[in-house]
Amino acid sequence: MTLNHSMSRNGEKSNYLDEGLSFSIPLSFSAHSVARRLSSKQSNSQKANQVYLNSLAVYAVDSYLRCLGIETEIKRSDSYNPISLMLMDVADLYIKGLGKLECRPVLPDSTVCQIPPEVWSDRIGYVAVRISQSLKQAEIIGFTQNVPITQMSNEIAEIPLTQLQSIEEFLEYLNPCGKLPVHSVQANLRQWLENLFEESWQDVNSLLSPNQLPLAFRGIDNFGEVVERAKVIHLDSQGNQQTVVLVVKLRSSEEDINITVEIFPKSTHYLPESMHVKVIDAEKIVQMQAVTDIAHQDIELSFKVKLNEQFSLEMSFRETTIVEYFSA
Amino acid sequence: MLTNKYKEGESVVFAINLCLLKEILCMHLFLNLISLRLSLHISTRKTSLEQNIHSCDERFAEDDQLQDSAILEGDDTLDQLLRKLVEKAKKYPVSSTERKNALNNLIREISNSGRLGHPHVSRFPSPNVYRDYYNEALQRTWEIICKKVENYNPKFPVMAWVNFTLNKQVLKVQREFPLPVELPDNDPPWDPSDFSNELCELRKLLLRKFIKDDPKELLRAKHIREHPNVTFQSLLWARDVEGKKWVDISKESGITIQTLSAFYKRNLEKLMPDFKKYFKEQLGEE
Repeated sequence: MTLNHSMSRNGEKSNYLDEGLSFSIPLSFSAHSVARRLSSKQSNSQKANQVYLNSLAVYAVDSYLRCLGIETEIKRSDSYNPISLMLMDVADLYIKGLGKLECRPVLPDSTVCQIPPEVWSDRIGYVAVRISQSLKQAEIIGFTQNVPITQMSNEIAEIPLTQLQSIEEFLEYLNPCGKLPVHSVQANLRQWLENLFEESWQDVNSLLSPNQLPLAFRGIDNFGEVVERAKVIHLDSQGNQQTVVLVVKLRSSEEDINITVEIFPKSTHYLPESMHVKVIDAEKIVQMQAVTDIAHQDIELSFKVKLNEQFSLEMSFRETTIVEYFSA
Repeated sequence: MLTNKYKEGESVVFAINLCLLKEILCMHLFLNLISLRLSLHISTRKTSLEQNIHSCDERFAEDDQLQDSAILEGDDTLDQLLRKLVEKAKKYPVSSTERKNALNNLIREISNSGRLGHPHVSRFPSPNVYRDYYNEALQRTWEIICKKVENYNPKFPVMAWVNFTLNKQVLKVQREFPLPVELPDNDPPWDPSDFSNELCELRKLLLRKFIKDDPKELLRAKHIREHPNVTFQSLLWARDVEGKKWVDISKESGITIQTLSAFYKRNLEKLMPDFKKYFKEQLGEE
């Protein structure tokens, strides 16, 4: 009877809140129409099934995030492009201002979230979406920021569902104004050496004026080939716009990668005063740091990292902090 | 009871902006229907009790009163919780994590409450057809409740607002889809009914031809650094024509899966306009 049902629900409430589950998202006409349209444009039925499930997962996350006021752009996603779907196993959703979030479907009896190699790079994170047996309900069950390196020798990476982070952490992570600093796609420096760069990292020449470019940025220095990439960093603080250019320069030797990080002002002569820069290792220990004084034209930090080592660069000005993640 | 409520409602209506007039009238009618249903429910139960056990009339009348107040209390507890979540969501800015968590919990509590209505069942040919229309309406209701949480009028219980919205959405979805979209009723794997084998074969052939011919020599021009033999063309052929696994390509070439797949993906993105153009010319579709 309804009465008993409602009473027992009240009793269970604290458990629900602790578990931090998402609500269940109904999948009906709209969701299945998209899934059907995209899956009908594939080259075999196995692929069509994969695309069908991927589309449902993306649709569910899109609907969920729209409910919570997070802006998405499904049309900028590979998962909306039948040709990308034909040639890759992708289920991405473009989140405005952040990047691509991968939405992986998880079937009812599965205990792992599968992440194929095509989506190991260029993602802000991965959400696991449980799709019901009837394909009419979906639920977000957890998320992870990165694919563990130990999984990267497999045909497909598998993350046990029990190891995923909670919905609360996921929402915190997506919040550009939250307590945590803004996260971005981890830059893979090994691939930089193969001339493969993440979208957000651009040609240095396109961001800095020629007189800002030191001599070493001519492609080759005395020690061999140099790869360099740059990114614009906005350290805006209460209406006070502070834009700088972060340049990362690499030179590989046998086992290590030599890294030089430089920061230049974007359109002013000097860097903002009291701007902090930190190099942080995988154990979250600050390995190097620098602070700007009056009239600093640039900051330069040089260090070495080993293969597979992860580190981050933290740049802060007043209450704004931006973090860039790297793996070697 | 009905007349009283209606009069109260009228005074409210005059106090509020005119453009809300219609919605509020509907809402009142809807609420009145709920209370009518509740009183009908109670009186039916009383009648059956009276018929069955005459001797225990008094004791059962007392039980009935208790149960009725429990219904109200149950509603109150739920309503208090939902109101708290609505207030919490309203208090924080749209971009805050607090608001997102409050909205997530609000919708979860509503869907678990057992108090969601099932309006307009009789307008649909079968329960199965109704379920799909209902689900579509429910998904839209979640979005409306979350986006318009500021519009919630605390004069009414939260569930009344939710059910009122759901009620309207069911009708709206029915207007939008005069015929239901056929949904799969099997477990995956599932073959969509409009999946054409001929078109599928054609796509496969076209893709194979594009990779092999490489008319503009775009695919063979890209190779992995220090591996002139591992071109984008050879990877496309191995993956999409031969159906080779990443692990096997990695073993054969001595290149990590990570590097292979990133190279593959990056080049596919770069050359996507060419792929699109080719398929559009050949098939006339995007």
